[in-house]
Amino acid sequence: MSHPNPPRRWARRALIASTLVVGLVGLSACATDPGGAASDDRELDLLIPAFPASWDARATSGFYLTAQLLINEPMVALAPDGSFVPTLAESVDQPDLSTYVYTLREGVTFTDGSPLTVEDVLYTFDLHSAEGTTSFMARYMAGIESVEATADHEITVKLAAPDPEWPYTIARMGIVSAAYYDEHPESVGTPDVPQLGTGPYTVESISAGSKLDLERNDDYWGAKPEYDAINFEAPADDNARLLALQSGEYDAILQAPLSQLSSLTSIPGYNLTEVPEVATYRISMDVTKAPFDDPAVRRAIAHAVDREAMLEAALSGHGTVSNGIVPAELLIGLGEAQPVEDAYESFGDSLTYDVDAAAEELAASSVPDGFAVEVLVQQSDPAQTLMAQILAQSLAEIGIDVSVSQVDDNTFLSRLYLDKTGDGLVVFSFNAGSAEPANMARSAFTAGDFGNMEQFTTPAITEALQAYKSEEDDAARQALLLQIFADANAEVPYVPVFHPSVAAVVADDLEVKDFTSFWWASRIDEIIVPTA
Amino acid sequence: MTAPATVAIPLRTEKKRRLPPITISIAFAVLAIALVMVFFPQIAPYDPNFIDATAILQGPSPAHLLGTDQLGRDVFSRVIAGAGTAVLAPLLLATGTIVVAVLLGLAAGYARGWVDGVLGRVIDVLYAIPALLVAIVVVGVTGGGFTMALGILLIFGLPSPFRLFRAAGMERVNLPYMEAARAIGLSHLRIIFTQLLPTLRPLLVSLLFLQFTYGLIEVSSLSFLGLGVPPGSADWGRMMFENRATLSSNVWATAAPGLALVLLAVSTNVIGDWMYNSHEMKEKHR
Amino acid sequence: MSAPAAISAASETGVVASQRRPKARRSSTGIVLRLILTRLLTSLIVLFVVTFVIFLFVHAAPGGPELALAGVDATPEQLAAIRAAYHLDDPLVLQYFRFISGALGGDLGASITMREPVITVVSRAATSVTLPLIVMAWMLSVIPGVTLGYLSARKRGSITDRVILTATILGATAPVFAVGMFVSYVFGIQLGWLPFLGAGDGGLDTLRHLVLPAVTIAVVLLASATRVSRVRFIQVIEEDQYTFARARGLSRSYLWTRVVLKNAAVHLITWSGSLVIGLIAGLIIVEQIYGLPGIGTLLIKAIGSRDIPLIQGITLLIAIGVVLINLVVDLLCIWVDPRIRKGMEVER
Repeated sequence: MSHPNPPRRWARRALIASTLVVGLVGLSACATDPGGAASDDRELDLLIPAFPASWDARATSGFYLTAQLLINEPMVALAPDGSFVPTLAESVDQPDLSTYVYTLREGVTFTDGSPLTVEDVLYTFDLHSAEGTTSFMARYMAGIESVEATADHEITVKLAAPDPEWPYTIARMGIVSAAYYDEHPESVGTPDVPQLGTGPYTVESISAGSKLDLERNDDYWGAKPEYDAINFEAPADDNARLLALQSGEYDAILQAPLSQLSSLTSIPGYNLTEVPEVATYRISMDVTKAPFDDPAVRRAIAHAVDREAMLEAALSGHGTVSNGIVPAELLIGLGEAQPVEDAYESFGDSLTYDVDAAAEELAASSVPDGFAVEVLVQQSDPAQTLMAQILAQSLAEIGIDVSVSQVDDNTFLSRLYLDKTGDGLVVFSFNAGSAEPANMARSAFTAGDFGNMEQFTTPAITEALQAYKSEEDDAARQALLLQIFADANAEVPYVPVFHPSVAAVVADDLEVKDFTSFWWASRIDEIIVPTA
Repeated sequence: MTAPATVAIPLRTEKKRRLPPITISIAFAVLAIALVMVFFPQIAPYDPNFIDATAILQGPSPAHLLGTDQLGRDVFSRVIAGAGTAVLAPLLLATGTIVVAVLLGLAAGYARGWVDGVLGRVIDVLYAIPALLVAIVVVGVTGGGFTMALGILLIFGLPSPFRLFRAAGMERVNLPYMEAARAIGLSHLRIIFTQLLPTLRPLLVSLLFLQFTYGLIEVSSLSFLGLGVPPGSADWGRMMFENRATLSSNVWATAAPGLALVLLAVSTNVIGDWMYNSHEMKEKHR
Repeated sequence: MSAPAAISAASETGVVASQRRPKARRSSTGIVLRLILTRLLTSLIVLFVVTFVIFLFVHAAPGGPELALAGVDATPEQLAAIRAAYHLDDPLVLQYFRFISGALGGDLGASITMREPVITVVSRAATSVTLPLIVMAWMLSVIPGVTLGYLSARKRGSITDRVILTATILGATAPVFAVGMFVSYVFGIQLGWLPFLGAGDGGLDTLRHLVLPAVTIAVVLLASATRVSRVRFIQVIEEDQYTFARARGLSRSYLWTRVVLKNAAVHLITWSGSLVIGLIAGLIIVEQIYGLPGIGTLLIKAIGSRDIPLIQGITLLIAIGVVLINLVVDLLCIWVDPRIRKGMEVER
């Protein structure tokens, strides 16, 4: 009979084996952390709220642009202080309100060496405005009558009508390489086919959906870029974000979720920069759906909204309660402060939190006994859920029974925007698409626009919006906007609750310059700079 | 899987392996506390759904034993209120699963033939698919609610108990007293209910506890992913989902429901295990 | 994750050989081939059912990929154009048929939102994150688990046994998300030993990032492994054959390898298989907590943007994986335990 090793030795071996396995794993933990910074080359590690599914220029909008614009530059860029800076275009001429003539800078090359030509510019326009394009910018291109190369380095854009949005649209449109897109029509912006641009940074690697590493373009035509590399990452959820910053491995969180700000700011070594965002959370009532077609019902609800409580609960106070759908500062910037302040104060009369007044209004309405309603909120925004629950408690006091349904973004958009099958009461969060002062007003009061959740407009408002387009005088623009908001406020289609703040939590060895609501529309390496 | 069923005869050298009494006592105590919370939610000091914007995210204090959450609601009251769904939902799920599994399993094990074949194949298909995965996909896509989630978990949780009862049925179908019952002329259905089922009673009870444990974990996993219960519900899994972001402000808003979950799950698991072992002992001593 | 412990003993679709008259014997290879064929047939049915059911549900859901693709600023005409481009308004049967015929040819289509072939996207997520994670968790749990189970079985009733048993009850029942949050908080932040966000830069760095997630999963699996192996080892130790071998004076090593291990092998292999399958749901949760770009996160994103080809592709591949694991487990069991083969030979 054979005598294999006795079980005691076997057990010992098994124990050794398992210890080795665990030990190997533990050893890997002790391995030195790669990526120690070199002496004067600085890397910037940023956390942004989310990543687009692909870095194709058609799929990037909003804060995704912060990375995109570092790779693909626009013809005229928006500087952090709000002014326009000619970039790929050397100069811009505006012979009349609807025509723009861009003179393209010569000698600029893409990072693969190919020269930038008018063909690339025309191609980029076509990419965003062609029939059936999936570009997020298509809507803003709708007003183009023609785009032509009128000389070797000259492009002329003719719009069908004057459009105050146009310079802002151009500032968001990074120029891509026509040849590159022709070669990879459907896969640009994926890990194997990164973007190609002329910009100060170029793509080093893309990790689908989670990481984007950019490195300095050493052949950049302009001033030497500040950083050696800029790395973007999007944490999967709030918890991961918190842990990430606590680890000290990241330099900044941009557009940090406000519900987390108190946790984030308690981390040593980081500073908070907070500015009001051109965005509004509002209680939106579809004026075409009963019972919200009854102004008395709308007024009742307006008095039942405890806006201070909502701000405190949803954003821990990081915002400003507002009587309008744009921050007063935006309008004040156009002219005198007094008319704006007076107007906003008068708006507040219909918005006071007064449950008795609410009950009175409801009693005199078409539904004196109250009603039941389902409120949809987006899963991606916890603030909406918190606000909806507070709203439910308040409305219950006057006999309106609210049930809150949390759905994913796709369902939310589909039910409310496309099919219009919501009950008519929504906690709605909407932000301006550009720094143009009338952007919010246009979105909120144009029939069929997603931002017009209330499906509300009046002929007077439509006329005023039209007049704004040809108006060049800032004070007159301010007056038009104030008139529009006053008209809306009289009908109470919505209850503006607050403007959230937009926050950046930045490491204290970096300086933050000109951080605004539209931080993503400018070069981030000009907003966050190393302390001199 | 295909392993032979062996019958073991107890040996004198065998040591009875029972869980130490103290563990069982603690487990039963926890269960008792949970039941008290289910049937007497009035013991909660506050209305679990009362939003108080002036008391947001407070730490534990004499007024609020476990502090408050993001909407100023008392965490302690919510944990008590959460016992309701924590106990009733998995209980419903476990009972439903066992009832269906018993019916199908005994039918398959007793009748064999084509009934067994068809059921076996269907169950094989279900076995191949993880329940939670399907629940996540379907509930996530359709935005379906609690009932849909429970339904899916029930259907996909059938394979294990089904096989258990099928094996039990097959083991017993040709035992002498069963043959005798058939010889007398009792109908098959009556045999199943009056002869077969009673012998399985201890197994059923222990299985109930174990299925309850799995159900509790699965349902709370779904809630933790934000699926199933509506927002703001005082459901333990949901509370962990909603309060995760504010861990550093009041860790108890997340930790308390988490602890409650673990305690209840462990307790029912311990009780179920203990009952199953006792049953197995009795089986062996037959 | 629900790995049945003590239940596993009696819960198999049993082959009860005792009650039938033995018929003519067939060859072993014939048996195995028959098994593979029946399994493949069942598997095909499984795959069809799974993909079809998921297909129906995804199409029944409100919204669609065109919203994720074009955003809120899109005009209704744009959205309609996208739907037409991806044939999303064709009859459902036609769309399903297109998917199946593509899949049979090895082409799973392209992800609508990520603009890459589904196979590329899925294999990238799987090979860089999910598969290494599963392997690590498996190693961290099975080897120590079986060892602890053996220790516990040999010393059953003693203090060691009781301590191990209590620990395993806690570990096996703790929900994955609770363990995950605890582990990431304690070891990730407080102690700062290991990274807890994302998947690193590939290679060794990725492995470092996978340690905490693997440990999270392994906590539950280790407990389960210990319990299952302990129960089975004890059962075998209490059987006639063990006592008889001991009485005959055979060495401890013979007892361990030839009696205990061999008899327990089938159970352990079966358990490993059902474990990996049960792992899948826990994976999704763990990937969410640690921000890992694996299959789980991919699936959640695909569901959110209604990326139909991607959802179909992922569920199909998961189903195939599950089927393969079941098949491998069955084959291993047959190889290890000749009684099964015999039992199958004698069955009708």
